[in-house]
Amino acid sequence: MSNAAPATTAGLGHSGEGRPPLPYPVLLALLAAALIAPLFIHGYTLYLATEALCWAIAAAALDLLIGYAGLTPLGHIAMWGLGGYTAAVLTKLGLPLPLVLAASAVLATAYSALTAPLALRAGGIFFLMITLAFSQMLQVVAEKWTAVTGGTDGLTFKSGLSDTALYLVTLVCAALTLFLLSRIVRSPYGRILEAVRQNEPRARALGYAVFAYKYGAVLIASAFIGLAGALGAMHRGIVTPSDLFWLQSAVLLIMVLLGGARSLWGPVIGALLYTSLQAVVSSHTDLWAGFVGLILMALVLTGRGGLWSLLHRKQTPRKQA
Amino acid sequence: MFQLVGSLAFGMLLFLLSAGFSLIFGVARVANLAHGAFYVLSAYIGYSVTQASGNFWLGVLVATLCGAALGMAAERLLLSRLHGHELRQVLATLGLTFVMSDAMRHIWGADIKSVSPPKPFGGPVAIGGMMIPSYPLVLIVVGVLVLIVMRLILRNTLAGAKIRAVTADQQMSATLGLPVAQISMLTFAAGIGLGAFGGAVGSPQLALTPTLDSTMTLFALIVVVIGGLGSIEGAFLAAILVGLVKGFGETYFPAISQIVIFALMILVIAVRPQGLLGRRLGNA
Repeated sequence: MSNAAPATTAGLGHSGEGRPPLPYPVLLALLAAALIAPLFIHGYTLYLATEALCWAIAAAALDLLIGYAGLTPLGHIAMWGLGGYTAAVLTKLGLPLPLVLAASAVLATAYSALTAPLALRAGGIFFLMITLAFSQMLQVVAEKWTAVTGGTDGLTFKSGLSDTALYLVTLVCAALTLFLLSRIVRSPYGRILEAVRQNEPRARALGYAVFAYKYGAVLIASAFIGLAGALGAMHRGIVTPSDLFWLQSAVLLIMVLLGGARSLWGPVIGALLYTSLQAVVSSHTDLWAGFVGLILMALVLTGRGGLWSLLHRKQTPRKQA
Repeated sequence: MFQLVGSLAFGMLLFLLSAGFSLIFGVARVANLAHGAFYVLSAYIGYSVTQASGNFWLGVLVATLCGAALGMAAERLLLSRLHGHELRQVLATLGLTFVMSDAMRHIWGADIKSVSPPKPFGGPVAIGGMMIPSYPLVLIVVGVLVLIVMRLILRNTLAGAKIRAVTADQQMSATLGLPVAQISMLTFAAGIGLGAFGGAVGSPQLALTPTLDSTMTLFALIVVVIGGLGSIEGAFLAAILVGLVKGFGETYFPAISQIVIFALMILVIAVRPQGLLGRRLGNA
């Protein structure tokens, strides 16, 4: 299985070597625009913006696994849900916000610390299936452990922040996430992760502890996905077991592929686009899931690197050819 | 006793479902996440045909054929184009699941549809002084028959030998002149047809809802992982095991029955990553 991994991901990720990150002035302008946005947008639009940012954090973190580590899970929604439930329970207990967010990330990481070794050891397509099984198990726990989780009704709670404040908190978290992830990706650690994805046997032969690198990537991604889940739960004010449904994992996967794996910004764009598309389409028809399925199939069949690579291809024509 | 029969019948349904999944994975190396959707779709087709014609077995036949045809179409139009890209194939079948389950919801509605068992097996039979519904017994017989027939086909026919060859080593089979693409397509037809058959035959036993598909896909995954990929006997054993755990679990410890199933799977992965009867090459 292991030597098939580079081939399987090669088609999904556009080659990211030598791609310059967004120039700082552009970044700052984007950030400033996002910061003052609440002055102009209200109500449902602001709600959607916060929602999209939560997904963006999770999608960027997932990209670390899919695009950089070459691992495709299908149970990452478990971390999201775990973050959400942690946030709900701790907020109800009256803990302050930073502590709640940190605890959510830590718990999501702990979950992965326990479950990932089995999934990683199985490898390949089994990684996908085992992460899926674990996340389903978590959903069952969420449904049945009514004393803590409120069963199928879920937990309703109030974050105590205004919509605007919550938007800003989420924005700051998203910016921080992207900053940290892009640092990680460009660090020596990220480079070795890249090497492992491209040729695992060779990386192992060079003496790198391949398993540890992959394990680390899973843990890092889990922390951020847990954080995103916590923010998402606060923003919606409710967590239910259906947040843990496995098709939600697929949704996150689609965001990454839509925007383009192996770019960090691609998944962010994917998340924004997905959320707005969903808002538009589902107001016309209730067949949204089928629509999503069609998008996914189209993405997979065309095998392009997502929207981000389209944008990028225009900027630097045919570098790798 | 009542529990036992019900659980075994459910186990047989799982076997029909996962035998197809396992067959497809073995030959085409595709983890078909749309398997549950095909299963439920065929059950719906069977339901509609039965409603229209009044003949349950006609419904089963039509559903099986439709399933096989749809499976072949999916292989031709979607999966064969992604040959060799494991991950993209999985994602494609995932997309297919979304589309199919929404289509089913659109066509048949979100209400639960229940199918009554065909005529001679509608009522209970008395065995040893106990009244037992007869249809689950029929399912058990059908399941065992399918296992025997599959074994015979895989072991003793040329088609079976070809399937085993491609499962064991795709490249070598192609080198030796076997039409791998064609075999792969036919396996898809057979595998999904088998699942479709299971869906239609099993419809009196399960209540039909459009959300059943993801549940069934998960069950197929669990059974196949426990039993060992590519092993028909393993699938049979694991299906019965899961059926029993589910059946008895829901009666005696309802809160954790599903967790027990998952725990079982995790235990198997941890101790025997290749599954109970993991793939012995060339031995289907």
